[in-house]
Amino acid sequence: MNDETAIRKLARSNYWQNIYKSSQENAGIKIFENEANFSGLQILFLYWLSVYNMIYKELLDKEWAYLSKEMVEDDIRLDAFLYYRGREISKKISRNKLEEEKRRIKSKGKHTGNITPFSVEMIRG
Amino acid sequence: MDIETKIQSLQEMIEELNLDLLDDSIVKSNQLPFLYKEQLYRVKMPKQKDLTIAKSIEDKLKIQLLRDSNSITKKALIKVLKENQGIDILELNETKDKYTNRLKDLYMELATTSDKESKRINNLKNSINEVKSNHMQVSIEISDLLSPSIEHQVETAYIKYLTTVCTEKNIEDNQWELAWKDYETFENDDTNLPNLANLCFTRLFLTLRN
Repeated sequence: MNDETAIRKLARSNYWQNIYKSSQENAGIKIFENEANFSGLQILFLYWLSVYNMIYKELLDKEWAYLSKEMVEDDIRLDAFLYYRGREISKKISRNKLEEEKRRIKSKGKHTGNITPFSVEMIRG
Repeated sequence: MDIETKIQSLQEMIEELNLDLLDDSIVKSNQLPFLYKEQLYRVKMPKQKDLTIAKSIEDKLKIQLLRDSNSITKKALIKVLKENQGIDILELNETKDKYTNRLKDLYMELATTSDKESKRINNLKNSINEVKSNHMQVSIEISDLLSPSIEHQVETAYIKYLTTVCTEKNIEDNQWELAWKDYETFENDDTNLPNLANLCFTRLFLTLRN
């Protein structure tokens, strides 16, 4: 088992997830013995604590069709899901931006005339 | 030593170090203990002063190597490798990119499988492991080919200096002393301890520098 596999196993455990949540709500609860000069392993651990915290919330809220408990416990499947999730969120952001621009052009069009795909591209720059 | 033997020996060293990775001591403090010939050692995070000295050692060495006609920069080495040995580093980097893209495609497929499709999941996971392993082999090959470069040498000196000042030997219960009194002693140590300490320190320090 390599360092990252071990760190992920710890980070998704109930014990560490509870400590993490408590530390978010109560500044008195410390995760590490040291308060500064964090090691690379500790920073990696903090990263995975926050990722699993987010994933567990999304699992509970049934936000994604394929996300399951089995997937969360399987590093390769979860890596794949995180990549897919990132792509889906980017697509959603782009779609929202485009809709927003269309709405903006439409409201401008009321004063300037017809809207064509060309005018959309022109305004997007 | 070929790439596969190198990977195997690196894996063996890592396994030797894995006392009990499920033990949360690897993250609880900013130190990492390890055993060498039944003696307990630990690597700790460098202080700001250590980092400043390491940087100045790195800079001095860089200037010295740049003045030395037998030393070569990474850029020049890439050119020499291509012209004299027909080894194209840019092409190897493109191969790495191809593996990365293949990995992304496999991830997209795997992400949309349900728990019931166990056969498909296993096949995809095997393909992912294969692509990752190929990617790692090319990365090691590139790193190996570029190791004589000035950039690689100064980076190595930086890490070695930090390993020297951050490795401690356990004397009694909670008493520790530096494993090597100075950088020269570390350099002259012909046991496997410097390599082991270097590996531990790199694990602890990880990508912090970047």
